[in-house]
Amino acid sequence: MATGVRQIAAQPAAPTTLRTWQAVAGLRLALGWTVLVGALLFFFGTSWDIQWHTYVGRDRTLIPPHLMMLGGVILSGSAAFVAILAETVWTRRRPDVDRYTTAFAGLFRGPLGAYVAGFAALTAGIAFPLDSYWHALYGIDVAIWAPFHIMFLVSMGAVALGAVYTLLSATHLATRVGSTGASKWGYWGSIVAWAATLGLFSLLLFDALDADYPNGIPFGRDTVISLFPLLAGALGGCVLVAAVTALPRHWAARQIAAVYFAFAVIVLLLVPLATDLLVRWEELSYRGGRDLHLPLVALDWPIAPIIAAFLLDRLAGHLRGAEGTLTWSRQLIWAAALCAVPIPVIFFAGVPALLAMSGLIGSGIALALGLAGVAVGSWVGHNMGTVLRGLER
Amino acid sequence: MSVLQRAGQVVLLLIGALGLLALGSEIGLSVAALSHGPQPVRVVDVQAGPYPLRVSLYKDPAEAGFALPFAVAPTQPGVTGLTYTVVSEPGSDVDATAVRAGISPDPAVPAGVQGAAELTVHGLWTLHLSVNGPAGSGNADIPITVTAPPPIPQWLGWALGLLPLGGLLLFLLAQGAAPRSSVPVAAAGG
Repeated sequence: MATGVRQIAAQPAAPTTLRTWQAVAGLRLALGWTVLVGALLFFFGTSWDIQWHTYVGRDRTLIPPHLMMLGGVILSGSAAFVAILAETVWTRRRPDVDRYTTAFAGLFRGPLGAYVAGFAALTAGIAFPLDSYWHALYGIDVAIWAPFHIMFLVSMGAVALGAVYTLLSATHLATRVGSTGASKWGYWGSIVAWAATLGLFSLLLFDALDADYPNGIPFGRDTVISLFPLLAGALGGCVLVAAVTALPRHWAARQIAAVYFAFAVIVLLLVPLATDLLVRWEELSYRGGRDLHLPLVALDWPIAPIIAAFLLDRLAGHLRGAEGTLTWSRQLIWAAALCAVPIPVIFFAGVPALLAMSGLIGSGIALALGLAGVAVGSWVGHNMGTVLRGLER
Repeated sequence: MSVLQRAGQVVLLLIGALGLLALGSEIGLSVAALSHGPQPVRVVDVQAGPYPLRVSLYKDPAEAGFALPFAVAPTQPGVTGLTYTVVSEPGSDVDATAVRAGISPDPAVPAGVQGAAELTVHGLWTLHLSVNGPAGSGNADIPITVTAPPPIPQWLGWALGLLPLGGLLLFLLAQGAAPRSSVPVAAAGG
């Protein structure tokens, strides 16, 4: 099959075919970016919501942070739906488009990423009323690890991943037809989408390192083995290794890390401000008359993936073959291993929190689990990156 | 594509369609909860400072997670210039925060308002009414019982909540099983 694809690639395309492919690339680019904007809206809305729930409390269902989150879900879901519908109709009229689409259930054709984003946006949409229902039954809570909070966050993380797939697919098509500008927009969109994926899933890590309400595997009388290293290692390893495998650029992981860090800076600057404004606007007051309202998401933001990104970029530079293909190597696990270490922005709070939760032996076990998480995450990430490299070319 | 793969996709499509239908129904129910019938199901006369008021509730008991439509009207004729604030306050045993209700002037009743109170958690709540007007200000409390929706056990909630995570993991693992021969080596890069 590889030979077949190479032969097709070598044939010069007719001008009308070229224009069609350009149009498909343009459509995927526009809708991929729209899906991404939806995921980003959700991310910043969630960061604001965490601040709101902690310092003000959960009140109305349709508070502005919730509206922002729902806006993100609707935007990304609609864009994914339009992408599938448009390409299904297009493929029926122009069978030559078919080669660059993914079939689904014998009815639809479209970019693989749009299916991922579409399904994920649907489950996110379902999670919202289920979460209200859960609160109605069991009361309000500020824990992120509640069933439908997890459903909501995982779904929107998957939406961002769908944006990665759609934008890389657009990049591949644009490169094939020689649209340099579209190719660059696709590449940079995918960088932001990788960072959004990492950022959205990172929100799930906060409860894994909360010494006040410890969650984890029971270990001893008063301690638990924190799941932070396992989850953070699997997440960071998967996303960063997938990115360096899929994107044959020297700076790919560092670019993702820079955008990922920029998210924390935006939250740091905007979320406390937006919360203050909304509290005043709605004539509410902070819980317990608190005066200090620290930007929670920005301060708890895990920064270990940023350091790991530097190591991975350097290693990938050495490991890449002549064609830019990154073959699997255990060294990738060691380069990504730092992702498992709890280093938040307030870095001095990370390891002590782990020790307080898990004790010395428990922390050792947690970090060992973290290494296992990095190994599995990196392997899955490498597979994903390999598929992404050849996606819908 | 194998028959098994296609069957799996059709099942996934059906699940998606059902999910979309369920979501549409839920949105419909939430929107319907905001509107109310012509007759209130409970009418409470209260004295808020110098103002005798009639509070009409269009659901009793109220349902947690859905809006409770209400209307407030002065019972003394000729009263004008009243402003209201309505807050639903949870009882001491209810794990919730107070919520200010959205209100708007009632076109059918002079100096009256209508609105919808949000009652987020089941239990005993109070609809706290504050009125300001030419004769001064006053407050009144109306106790509200909020019923829970039919419960699902915690384990089922967790099972549902973790479904997308399971789906995502399956998708990622399937990438490992994807045939490498489909990756066009010559076209790679960029």
